[in-house]
Amino acid sequence: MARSPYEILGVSPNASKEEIAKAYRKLAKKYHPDLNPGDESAAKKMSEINSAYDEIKSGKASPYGSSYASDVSGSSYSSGWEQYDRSRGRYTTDDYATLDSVRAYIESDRYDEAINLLNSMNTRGAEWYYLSAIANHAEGNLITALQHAREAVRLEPGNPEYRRILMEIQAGGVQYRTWQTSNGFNPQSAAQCCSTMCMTQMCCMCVQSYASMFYCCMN
Amino acid sequence: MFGFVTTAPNLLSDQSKTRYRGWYCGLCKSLGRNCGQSCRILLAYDMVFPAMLISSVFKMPEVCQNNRCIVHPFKPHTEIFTAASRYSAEMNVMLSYYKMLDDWQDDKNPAALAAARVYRGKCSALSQKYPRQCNATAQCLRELSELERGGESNPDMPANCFGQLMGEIFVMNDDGSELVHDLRKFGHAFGRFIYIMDAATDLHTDLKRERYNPLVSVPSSQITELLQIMGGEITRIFDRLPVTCDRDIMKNILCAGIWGKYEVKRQGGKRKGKINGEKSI
Repeated sequence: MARSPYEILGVSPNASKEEIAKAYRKLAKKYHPDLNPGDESAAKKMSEINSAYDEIKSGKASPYGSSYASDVSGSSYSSGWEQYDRSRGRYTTDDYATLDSVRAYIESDRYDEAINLLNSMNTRGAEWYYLSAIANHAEGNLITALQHAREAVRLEPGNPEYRRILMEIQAGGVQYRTWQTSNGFNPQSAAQCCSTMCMTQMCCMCVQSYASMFYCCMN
Repeated sequence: MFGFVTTAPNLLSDQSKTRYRGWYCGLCKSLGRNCGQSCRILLAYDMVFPAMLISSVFKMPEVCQNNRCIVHPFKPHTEIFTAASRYSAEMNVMLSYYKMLDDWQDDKNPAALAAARVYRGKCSALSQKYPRQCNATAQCLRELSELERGGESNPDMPANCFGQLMGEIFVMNDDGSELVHDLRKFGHAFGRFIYIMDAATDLHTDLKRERYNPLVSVPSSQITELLQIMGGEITRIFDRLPVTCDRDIMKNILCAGIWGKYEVKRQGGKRKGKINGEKSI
């Protein structure tokens, strides 16, 4: 049987929230791809850690083995936010009924309830991610929406509906970039400006030394 | 979370630069006048933006003065005052106070506690004047530190929490109008963006120090796009607001200035001296 998420994080199933978070951060320091550039095995390990952590956080982790690790190769950290592969599970008849209720909530703009219902489900397939992306997008949870839309497309690349919601979410970013260019901004030039402005302005303050002490403690 | 909301001056006309400086100096003066001279050191650039936005949306009458001050004793300069700049100055003090308390509770930083003590009296007066904003700030920061302590893995949760706080700050008087509704939405989206921007900027430091960061589980290659999508949300609401006065300055902040700190960090600390300088202000 595959390792349980608790084993992956190296904590006991009775560990407190804080202890689990601490263990996760310790592992992230060791394996995060940004701190290990080009290291495929670290990236893979980080995916596994993220999935285990997510599973525990969602309250669905069993202290014993989990089925998830068997399919970790399905997606990699670099291709998207790792969704642990509960997703490969098949929907039962009950699940289909629940997804129908989720759709009904979405149609009547009751996104909050749709999200709650989705979060209560154990099986997460492409349709789950798709509906979650719609509901979260409408609620303004843009990060979750983007990640879940990506996951839906990854699981079923051929589905035009899944692609459409992903594009709809990404359209916000496209609009923003247009807005930036039309206002004469080129991201590359940003670094030069802001810090100089702050420096020249703020250095003038007589109380600067006191302020710096102060600001340090505020930051 | 301070230090993100500033302009990209190389893209601003001289006239706009003077205006922006005028707002800043007005805010500084308001701090001294309404909250006591000791509060002037709390001044943050970030609070110029809400002052400008609220004044512009409600077309508030402005008082412009040419003055010298203790900070610029030899050079007379313009100071712009409106009801919103006074409000922003007060919000500046309130936010700084709660931030200090928060730092004390989270990191047991004694300097933060000592500083918070200095401003306690001012803040209790403000909490009577602005109960809605103060309660929201206290509650959101409490929830936020709870989420951070528990290591929340969904970045939307803490971002929304901070967004809610900012939403209340951008509403000066809640008269239930459509305009207020839009301002609150704007503040919400703005707060979410700032929170994630801050997290993105600090990601590597937080990883190394094993501190909470909501973006640990998000692949770094996706972070810029994520921020752009969130930026799209802000500008969509901004375009709906009836902003005429100082529109170019606000646009400059929203599309360029706000990226300054992040871009500096992303370009690998080439300008490290500057970053440190900026932080120590």
